[in-house]
Amino acid sequence: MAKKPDKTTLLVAVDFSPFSEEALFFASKLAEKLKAQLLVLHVIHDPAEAPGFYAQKGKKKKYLKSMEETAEEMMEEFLLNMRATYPDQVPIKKAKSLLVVGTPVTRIVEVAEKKQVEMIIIGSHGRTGLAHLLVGSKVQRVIQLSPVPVTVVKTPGK
Amino acid sequence: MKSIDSRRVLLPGFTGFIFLMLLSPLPAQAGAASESKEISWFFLFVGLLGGLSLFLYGMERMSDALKNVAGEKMKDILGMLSNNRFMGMITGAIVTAVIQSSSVTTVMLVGFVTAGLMSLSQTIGVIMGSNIGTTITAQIVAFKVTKYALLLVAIGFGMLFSSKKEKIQQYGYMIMGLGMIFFGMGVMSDAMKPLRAYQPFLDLMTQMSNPVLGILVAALFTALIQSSSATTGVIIVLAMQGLISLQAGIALSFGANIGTCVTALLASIGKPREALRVSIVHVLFNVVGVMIFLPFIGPFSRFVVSISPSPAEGLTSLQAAASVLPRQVANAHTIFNATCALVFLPSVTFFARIVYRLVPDKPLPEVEEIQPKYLSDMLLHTPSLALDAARHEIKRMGKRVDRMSTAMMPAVLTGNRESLQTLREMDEEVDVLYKHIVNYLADVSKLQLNEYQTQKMINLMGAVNDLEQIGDVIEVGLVDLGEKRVKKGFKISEATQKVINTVHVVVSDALKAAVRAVVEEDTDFAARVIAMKSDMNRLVAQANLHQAKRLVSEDSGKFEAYSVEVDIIEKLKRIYYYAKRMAKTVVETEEEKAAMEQAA
Repeated sequence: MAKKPDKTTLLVAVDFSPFSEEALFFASKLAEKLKAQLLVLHVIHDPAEAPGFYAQKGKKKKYLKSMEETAEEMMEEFLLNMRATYPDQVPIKKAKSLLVVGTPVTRIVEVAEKKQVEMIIIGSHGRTGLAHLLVGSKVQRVIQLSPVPVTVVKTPGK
Repeated sequence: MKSIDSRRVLLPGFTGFIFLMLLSPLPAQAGAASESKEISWFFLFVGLLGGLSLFLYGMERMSDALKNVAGEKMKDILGMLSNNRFMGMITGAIVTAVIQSSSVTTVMLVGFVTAGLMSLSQTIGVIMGSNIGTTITAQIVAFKVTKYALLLVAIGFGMLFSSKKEKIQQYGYMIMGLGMIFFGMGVMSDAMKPLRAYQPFLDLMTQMSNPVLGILVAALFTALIQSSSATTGVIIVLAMQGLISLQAGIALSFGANIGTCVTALLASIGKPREALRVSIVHVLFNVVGVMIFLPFIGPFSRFVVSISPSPAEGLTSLQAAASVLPRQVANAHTIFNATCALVFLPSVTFFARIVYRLVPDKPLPEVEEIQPKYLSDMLLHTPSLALDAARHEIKRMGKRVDRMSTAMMPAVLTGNRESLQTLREMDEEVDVLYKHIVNYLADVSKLQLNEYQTQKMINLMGAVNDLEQIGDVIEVGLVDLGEKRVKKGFKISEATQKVINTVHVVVSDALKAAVRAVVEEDTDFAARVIAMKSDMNRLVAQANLHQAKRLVSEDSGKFEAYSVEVDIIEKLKRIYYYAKRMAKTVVETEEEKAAMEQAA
């Protein structure tokens, strides 16, 4: 049985899009006020709407990379970028990251339950293109299924 | 290995045949039917059975040879080109056409998906394409070259015996296999000749024009002999003798498409979810395609007749049918599969969604127990894929050892009992992976490996052992030293910590680079590890100097701390030694490979 974490945890679900950046920045500001810690989650999923989402990032290599490896690199890069963009945001600096394989909506909710987080924070939309509509609906499903409050961060002007 | 392979193919072949014999009421009626007194049922069945066996054995030979010649390349092509679904379809078609087996393509895909190298939706396009690829076999066997079958066998055999070069021998097997396929068809065809005048059989074949019956029979037959190409071969043999109508031929080939899914489906029972999903896509796609075409078999067959060559004039109706039917059946098969693939290609996402609904994720495990992730038994049929799987698993193991290496310095130098215990527990995971990888590699070594693969296998085995040794140096050596420090209650001075940490930075870098060198077969990384030797020597010398100075300047009560510190440096040196050994094998293998290529 997972024990309640000592510190309030906010779960930020990201797909490395600009919307996710916005969500993480917002979460960081909130965490600072609440003295909470951030858990940045990416669900390694089948990018059916954007085949090769992970594969393309891992190109130019002698060996094929697994989606998991690529996702790990993307997460590292994403956090490095965020830390560079917002150097004064301590929660981002201290944020822990987590990668889980599966279907995004279910996994986000499962992780929220397992890690006993106080809140899920998520960008309003995901990747670009047609995916907008679909990912938007994923956010709605997270709201429906989540046992904890969900904050949807809207990106102004996008 | 070889004998097992042929048994794998032949046994179901025999079972399939017995099934056919049971299905057919013919032998019982044989005596009664006056017009068929001259039919020898025994020789008819022996001819069919032997012909089918030759056909299947030829397929196996040819497919094996193609896998050996082109398998490695096909695997790379598959992995690289399937990012876009259209390219995926084309790749699937080409790869399957080249290796002449959609089930090998599917197994490769299952391997990729289980290893996380490809997503399910990426594989769907390839699966659709692989159906197109299989139609090439039917097109080839529809050529009436049975007369030259033995010539092919002789040429292939000649190549086998005249050259010692592996490649030429493989091509020899391939040509001989193709010859056996044609010869098998010829034998079956001759055996069936008497049936042309046997009314009950003709009636039975007319019933096959009932599409549902035709599909069922062919699906069952294909599932039993585990080869859709063989079913198509038999259909074409029936067509050569003018024993079936085109409509029946189409229905039967639809059935072959469905029956072929059973092989993959059976193989994925009890396998990871990802594997099951790939085979379900295969089933869904093939079944839905047949369902859609089913009501239109009539118009479809008329269309096929209109685009296929027409019979020469002056033939009897039976001769006319026999002369054009095989090509018509092959064309129908090709058009059906190509149309299905093109029509369904835009709905890849839809297929993926259905499959995810049918086979959902397992819930997140409560306690994360470490299990090998990539080592699948399914891949043991294809050595190159199995070696890849082991490589991925070694990377995972390397990551864990690396994590231990990062955590060890704070724990050993300043940490408490708890942090040292955590380090011990981390090694348990490494041990579990070690055991699995070694067993898996042992299984791989039993396969038919070429020279390069054998070398690769030996290297991976060496790397796993070195990693395990490093884990043990940390778990046993360093943790013990840390515990000694805690027990005796002395502190390691900050200056000394700094000295040890500088050594550790190099060791840690070397370890990371060594794992990468092995996993990616990258000589640059390997060279980097080896080049670190001078750095390492210099730092160790500096550390020893520091220790010597410290011993004279400080009081002798600190002797115990001194001995622990020196020991820590020794252990770090050992870790570097293992990392260097890993790197050296990579460099040596690459050199050998280059020398081998030059010699060739």
